[in-house]
Amino acid sequence: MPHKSFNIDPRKLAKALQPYENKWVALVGTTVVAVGETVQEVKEKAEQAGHTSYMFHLVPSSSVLLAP
Amino acid sequence: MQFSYTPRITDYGVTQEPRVPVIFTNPKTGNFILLFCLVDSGASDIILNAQFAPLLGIDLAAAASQEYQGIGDEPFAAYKHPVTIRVQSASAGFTVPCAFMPDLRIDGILGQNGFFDTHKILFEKYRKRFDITPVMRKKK
Repeated sequence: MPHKSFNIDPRKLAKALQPYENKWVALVGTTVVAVGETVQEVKEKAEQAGHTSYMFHLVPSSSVLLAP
Repeated sequence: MQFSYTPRITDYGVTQEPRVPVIFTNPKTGNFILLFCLVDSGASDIILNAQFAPLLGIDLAAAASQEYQGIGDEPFAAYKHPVTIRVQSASAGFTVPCAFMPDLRIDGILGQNGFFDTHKILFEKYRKRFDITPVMRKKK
């Protein structure tokens, strides 16, 4: 099954993710459709909500910058 | 394919991260996931959070392990398995080794082996954008 092509507006996405630091989320475009503590939890919530095509993301903490 | 840097609001101000949607498929099972990965030229390999292994139908107990060292961290183990990667909206995919790391505090990292050797990547942070082009090599 092919994935939908998501149109991601980076500024909208940054705002949408702000409340979910340290959480796993499922995204459809810039909309958060499921939130959880684990990938499996997010998958179940997204699919229970009727989403079959979504993108996983772990929202980093706002108190850290990323290092390689 | 051109992508915008993704702004992230932190306690230290807004930081810009080069993130891109990538589809990862287990070539053995056909299971796939879509992740919003960080393009990281400082990482040796493609590294995914180990929570994705069951979704892809990958048994990490049967995978070879390898140690990695982050800055300021003790070395930690990850488990390698071949996975097909395709940047969303790209026509070409590549089957490359990916490392699955337990307790990784990020979703996925696109590093040198597997990503930078299969894609041409041009960072233009001063324009808040970057380009990714799959590199198709001719078979010899």
